[in-house]
Amino acid sequence: MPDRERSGGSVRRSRRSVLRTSGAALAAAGVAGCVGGGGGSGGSAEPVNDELTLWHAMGGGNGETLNALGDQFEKETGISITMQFQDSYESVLTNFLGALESGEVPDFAQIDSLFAKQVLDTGRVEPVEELLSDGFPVEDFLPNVTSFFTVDGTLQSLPFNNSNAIMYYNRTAFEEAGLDPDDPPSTLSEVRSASETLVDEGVVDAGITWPNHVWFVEHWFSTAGQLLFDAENGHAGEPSTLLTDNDTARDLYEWWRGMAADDLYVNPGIEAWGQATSAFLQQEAAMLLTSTAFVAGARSGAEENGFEVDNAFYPTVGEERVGPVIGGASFFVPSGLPDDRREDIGAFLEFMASPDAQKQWHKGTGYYPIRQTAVDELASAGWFEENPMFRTALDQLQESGDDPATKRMLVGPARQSQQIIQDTSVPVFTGDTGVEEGLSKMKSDVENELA
Amino acid sequence: MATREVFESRWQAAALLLPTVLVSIVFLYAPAVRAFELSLFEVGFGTGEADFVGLENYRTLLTSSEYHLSVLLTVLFAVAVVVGVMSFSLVVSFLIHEVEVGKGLYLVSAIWPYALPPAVAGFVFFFLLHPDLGVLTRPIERFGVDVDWFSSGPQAFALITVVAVWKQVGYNVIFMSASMNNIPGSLTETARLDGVGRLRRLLWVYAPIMSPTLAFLAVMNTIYAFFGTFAFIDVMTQGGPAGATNILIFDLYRDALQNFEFGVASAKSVVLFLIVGGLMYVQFRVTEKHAYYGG
Repeated sequence: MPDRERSGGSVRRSRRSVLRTSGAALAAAGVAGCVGGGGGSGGSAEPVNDELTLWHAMGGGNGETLNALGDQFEKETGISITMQFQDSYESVLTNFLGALESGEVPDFAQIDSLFAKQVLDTGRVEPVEELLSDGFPVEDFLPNVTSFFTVDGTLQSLPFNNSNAIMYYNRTAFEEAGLDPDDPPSTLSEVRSASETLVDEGVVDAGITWPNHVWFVEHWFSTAGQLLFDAENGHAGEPSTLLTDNDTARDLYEWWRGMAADDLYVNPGIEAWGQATSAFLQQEAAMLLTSTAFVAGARSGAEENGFEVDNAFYPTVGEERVGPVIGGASFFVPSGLPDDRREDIGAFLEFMASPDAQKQWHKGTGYYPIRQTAVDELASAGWFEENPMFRTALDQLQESGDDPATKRMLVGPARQSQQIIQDTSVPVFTGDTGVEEGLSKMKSDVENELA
Repeated sequence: MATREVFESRWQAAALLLPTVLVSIVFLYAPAVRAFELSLFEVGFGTGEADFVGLENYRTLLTSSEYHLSVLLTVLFAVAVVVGVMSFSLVVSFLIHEVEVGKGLYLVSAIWPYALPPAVAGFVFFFLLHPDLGVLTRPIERFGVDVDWFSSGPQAFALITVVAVWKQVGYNVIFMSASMNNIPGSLTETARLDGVGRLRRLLWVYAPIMSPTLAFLAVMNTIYAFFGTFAFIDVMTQGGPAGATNILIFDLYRDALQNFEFGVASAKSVVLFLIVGGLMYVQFRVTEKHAYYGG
């Protein structure tokens, strides 16, 4: 389709030269004030490829499942699509923002929900709701999922691979320690007493592990019904502070600190997903908090290491259980692409959101399906009875109330806030800093970023 | 001093210089100017918007206690690395110089770590000393140390320093050995006849003669400590725990390429440039006075 390339080249060149000259002129003149540097959000964008292009962060088995879906889409529609693996969510974000700035863009970028606000703030993405055809059953999406991705009343990006955090545990170790494997801990204090038993009985070195990632702190807050940021975690306006001055925060960090002090917790390191997983699979720790997307990996990993694995709801700080925040990513589409291309883009989005694709994706990865129809069809085919581990995250999601605390944080400086929370957690749980002192530092540092 | 006419025409000289000058301009001077320019802006990534904020970014750095900690940390780290590398390498080079049998083998083994890419070295140490999985972790813990540099800042700092030193020893040994081999044998003999002990011979006879080399190495090692150690931090600690290994070069990388705060990151890079530039100036002045260039 040659007309897709029309005029793109000249548009791009002028945009770049505008960027360059405006920057130089500004510096030379030393003009103060706010200046729009780029070609503006109303301008058109040029695709990086003739065929549709998706930038994603799904490696390994999940990547293969994604590619299979791409092949199926090509076969069904005759539209070609390139799936480009870009290593990590962070890389996809960096490359996508760079692409938006240059005006040469992919058609889809799989953006981690944590970074959603940062992408929305560029003003250079088109709400996917406008790309879906009129007859598309938007109401069939699981409301707990789409509520996060709906901003200003419009579905901004297409939720695709979504998950929450659950607790995996080693049934074999529980049995050896004399614990009931059918009654796993459901609160932090139960996690502690189970850990003590497991370690005292000499079954494992430590009770529990999880990567030091902000997502887990978010889960402890949301399951307690506690907002992490003001303005409803950023969904009801611009947040200005981190809400750490409450019992949820204090109880959580006191517990974490106690677990570390008594060697009941393995610290795998900051954002060390792989390390945490291997500590669990090597049976150093009998419990692991991680994403539902690890279900398939847990099954094969446990088999390899000769133990029986199971999973349960995320352990809560207190007795109350409100619900998890969502995790995972969605597909964003840049604005300003040519109309004929937008039709193809819409077709792909609808394909990926179709019950069939969602069922296939769920079975291959453990991410839960985002369509009610897909859930119902899986249930009636007996999938969840045969594979109860796949059920947990979905139950956890669907039992969750419609509480603002269960909407994940939607803040511009998400990466900075994430780093502050993760970094400041370390001296608090090692005991180098007092809990109160650490929490107030966390709060003031995040406030500085939000200001 | 009379000018020597090597080239027939100035154009010839200019043509030969052109590639170097061009590469320097394109990859060094122009980006440096651009970085300074960017440091005066608040840049929005993805939107192409840039707000001129004057010296605001520098003011942020002046008031940020995290940044002050990072500067202090980096200076401490640089001192530890330069002193560590040079004293250890001096002893190693001396031992190699003195040994009768297997000199070549020792020399090669000392230089070998230098041939390893920093990122690879980082991964090797990561797994050797991993708090839970490390091969060397248990043996070290026998000495009563609880190895947990994922949680302990001082341990992480010590580890990064040791790895940085280990990696740079080879480079120093190459230059020090070459320099030691140039020391006239008569001097060694005189020292021996005068009954000068080994250590005194190294410190009071050899080291002064080697001073131009040592001065050069001090400069190179300083640059290495400030800029060349990025990979270890990136692979092993990510600046943590709690900022304990967040040296300036990593800090500004994180600001620029993870947080997309290009303005602040540019200001940081300008400050880093000034710090290292200032240090170089001091080092050159000091060594000019004290280094022995013969005659």
